[in-house]
Amino acid sequence: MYHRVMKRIPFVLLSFITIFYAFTSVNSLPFQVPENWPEPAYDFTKNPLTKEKVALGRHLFYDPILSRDNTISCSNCHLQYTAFTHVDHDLSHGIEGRIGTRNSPALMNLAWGKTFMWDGAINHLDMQALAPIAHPKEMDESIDNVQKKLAKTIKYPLLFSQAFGDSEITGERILKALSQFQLTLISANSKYDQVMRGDTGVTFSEQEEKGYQLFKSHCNSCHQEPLFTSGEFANNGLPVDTTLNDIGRMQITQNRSDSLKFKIPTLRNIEFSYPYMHDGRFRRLSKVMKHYTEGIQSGPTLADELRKGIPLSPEDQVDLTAFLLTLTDRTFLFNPDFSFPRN
Amino acid sequence: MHLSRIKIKLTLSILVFFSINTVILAQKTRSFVVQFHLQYGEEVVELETGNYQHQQKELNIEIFKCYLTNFTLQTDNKVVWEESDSYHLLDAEVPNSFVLKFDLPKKLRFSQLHFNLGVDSTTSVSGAMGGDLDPTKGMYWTWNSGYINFKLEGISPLCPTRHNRFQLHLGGYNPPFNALQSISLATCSKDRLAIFIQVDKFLEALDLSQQHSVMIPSEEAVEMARLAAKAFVVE
Repeated sequence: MYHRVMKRIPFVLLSFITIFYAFTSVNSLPFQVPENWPEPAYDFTKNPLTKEKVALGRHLFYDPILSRDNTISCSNCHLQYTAFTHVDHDLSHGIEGRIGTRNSPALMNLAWGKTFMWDGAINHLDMQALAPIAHPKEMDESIDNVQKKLAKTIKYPLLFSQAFGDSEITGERILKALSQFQLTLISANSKYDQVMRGDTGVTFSEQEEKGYQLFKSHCNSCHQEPLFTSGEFANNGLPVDTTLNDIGRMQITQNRSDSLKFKIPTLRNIEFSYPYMHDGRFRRLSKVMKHYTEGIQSGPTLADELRKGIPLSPEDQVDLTAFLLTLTDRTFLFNPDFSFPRN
Repeated sequence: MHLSRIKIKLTLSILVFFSINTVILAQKTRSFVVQFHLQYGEEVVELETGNYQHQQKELNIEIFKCYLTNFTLQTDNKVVWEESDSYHLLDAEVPNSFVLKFDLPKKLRFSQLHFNLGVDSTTSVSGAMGGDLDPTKGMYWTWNSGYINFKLEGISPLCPTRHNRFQLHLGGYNPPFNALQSISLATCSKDRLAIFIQVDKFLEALDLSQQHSVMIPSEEAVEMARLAAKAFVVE
């Protein structure tokens, strides 16, 4: 009898371990770095992606509970179909119709971002969400209160439990889950990407190819491939809008040499991310072209590359625009994994 | 049956062996308790209800919070013990947060306690943290990145502000405005140390009619952080 029991112990133990593992295991999601892309800046060892955390982050991203009066979610200013920015609005909108001072940036390829916001105020993707949540002209809420509101719902303790193993809701968990969803927003399948990868049957048209050559000689030093941004800050010679008097990066560093410098944005999905510039002053790409060819205002912090303007003939401008349109990534814009969570 | 007895004996012996070991290990450590006292002169600070005399005017304190981090014990300027994950938020609204208990090896000799006032730059750029560093604690800037190292708010008629309120949020981790301060205090006792945070000493060094609102990393914030560090004293 005793021996029989002893013999069974390993099997019983194994079964327990298997059952325990089945209940506690998480579905890890490996982060795929697109071919020939640099290593991401985000440290995934501190927040490894899992299916459950990404799902939680997606629910939070689309939930107006993050705002003080429960009216505005992240997705209000960051809509998927327009490359996660707010199309048609020059300045971002907040609760009670309040209007901010900057254009909402397009969200994509954030794992490669070193700093966030137009002035680089935020040093880590995890902490970025705190800014719009707390800003009086955006969500006007505190993370502390968001935590309390989430804890009172039926849905969130369950989602946190699935993601983190227990239902405790903390600021750290909210922010890390939001990061997880945003980290999955990778745009790397535009026509440009397909051409670069050598996908069969995909080639640039003659016009796009001419545009690409122009891009490489005039734009690539700031809007570096493959992310189409160097992640740095630059003064691109925009005259100061005196209704805003935005000094950009200098507001954060208090260093005069950063005056009027703003984050160089990615050009990916530029077809859908209008209006352009930190204050959304240009509604069309043709206006952007006009600025770089004849509108650059000189100043002590102006980017060296722009000191002589960019000489582009009207034909060049059309060719360059044709190339920029190859940066549209429809699989990103219409990826069902990024849309409002239906369940 | 005989075999089973042997097994039971063996199991018991192993249990006894481990229990003894645990007891021996437990005896090898002891506690060192650091108790902070928020003082205004001789008086213990009471948030909101306490009235203190500052330059012949009544002064109230509404909020006091600060981060104390990277605790080490030293002797002859050599580190003999350091706390791992050493981040503590002292919040005057949470009395327990003013008592820190460290488990030390029993025979450890030390003469100085060393810690930082504020959160180091590496931690400040490492994303979302939990525990005392959780951003829900109200000590993380939102418009900018980084922790507020020292937060003191109150009311003084000397302040030409709305409701005469002073709001001093001292922080910043990026040079040239790195507000982190290190504090070294001598300790005679190996069991406990009382540290007094003399708010009066800090405020007397300021001119509240001019220096009443600090909310961003700046030269002024760094200078005030230096003064705040000097307010930590032992008897």
